Amino acid sequence: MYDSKYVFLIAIVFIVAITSPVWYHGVVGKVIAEPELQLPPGHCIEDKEWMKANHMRLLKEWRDEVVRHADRTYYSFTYPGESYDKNTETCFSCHTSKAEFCDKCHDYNGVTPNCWDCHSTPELVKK
Amino acid sequence: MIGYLFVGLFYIAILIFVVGVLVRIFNWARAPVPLNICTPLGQQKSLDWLPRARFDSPYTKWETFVRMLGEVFLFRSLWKNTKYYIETQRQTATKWLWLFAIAFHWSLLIILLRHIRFFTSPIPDWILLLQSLDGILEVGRPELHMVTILVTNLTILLGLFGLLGRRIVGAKERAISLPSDWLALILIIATVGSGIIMRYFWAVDIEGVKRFAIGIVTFNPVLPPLDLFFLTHLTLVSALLIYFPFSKLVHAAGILFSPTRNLPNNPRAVRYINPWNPPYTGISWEEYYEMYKDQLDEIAERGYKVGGGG
Repeated sequence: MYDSKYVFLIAIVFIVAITSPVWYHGVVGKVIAEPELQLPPGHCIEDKEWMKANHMRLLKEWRDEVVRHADRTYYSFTYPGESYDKNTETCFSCHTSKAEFCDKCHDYNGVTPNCWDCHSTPELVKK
Repeated sequence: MIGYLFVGLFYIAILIFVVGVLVRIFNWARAPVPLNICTPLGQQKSLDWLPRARFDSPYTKWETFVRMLGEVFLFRSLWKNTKYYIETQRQTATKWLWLFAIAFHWSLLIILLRHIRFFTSPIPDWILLLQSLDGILEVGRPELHMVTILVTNLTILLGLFGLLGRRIVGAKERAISLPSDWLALILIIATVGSGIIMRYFWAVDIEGVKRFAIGIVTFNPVLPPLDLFFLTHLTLVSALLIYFPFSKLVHAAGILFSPTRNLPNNPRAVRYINPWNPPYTGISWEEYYEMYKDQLDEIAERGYKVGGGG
């Protein structure tokens, strides 16, 4: 083999880069587990699993319906007869903390929603 | 459970990718380079008063290294690429090819780095920073509807469809395109497409995806979310990983082993020895004298005058 010191350098860099997620957790010393959410008592406006998967779409729908059609009342599908104000404050009446609820999963998954560019959070209101 | 098929497929794909690339690397490293075939892009080092292209025609190892950096990260020789038209005897620059190539490759690199967010927990800060820089474009009317469009998603499509269009529109390029050329492009376009669909049009269970990815890197595999586009994406990525070492995609490693690029352009100053030449053993003056004793003595008798009908 020719120029073996360069070849081994390239091979080692390649292996180290490819396996970086594996040894990264060893360097950091821990794998942060999936967050366990503190769920408030009662039920959410829709089914829990459905909300987990679709809350972002629901919030966007709310925004469009409120801004474009002044349609402020949401009728639950899961719980017939119940209606809610289409407002982030409706969420915050039960989920009283952004840091303890929203941020946990968003941080874990590296998702950065832009809700808070405009909307206030319970933490801000308390201040 | 069908999910375990995908776990197995992904592990096998990674294994084939890593082992395959290493085999290719060591095969190249074993192949002798008989001649210094450096292909410079400028004036080589010559007389002192001749201005020379230091990094386009490197002379030392250090300059060659800088040239390789330019090749790998900036596609320097593609930048200098030209196309010659016989009919009109015209030579034109093909900077558009460089643009598509660099748009595609840099976007791919950033997209791959962004995917680290699925494989790490906690996510390194610089990945999040990269992600937010990538998401600098927000499109829409601020009072109604804003969508964050990742810059790399646009540029990778520009690059890929530019490279695909080149093979479709250019008559000569179409003529020399092999099925493997199309396969590589279409595989990557399909992979990117399934990723883009998941990002903007088809929300997947992102927590399930992350659980799956973390399971892969901690060797504690869990089932992937059985989602149409995620499994399509995963399968296409596995196909790419498996295909990589056997195809032209391996140019990513091959560029480092290109003798036209990784040799210094100094054959006039430094003798390049073909590695497969038999080992050279010289002879001493005494041995030489023994071999040609008679002739040498005769020449000496004539006062070292050669010729003249003696």
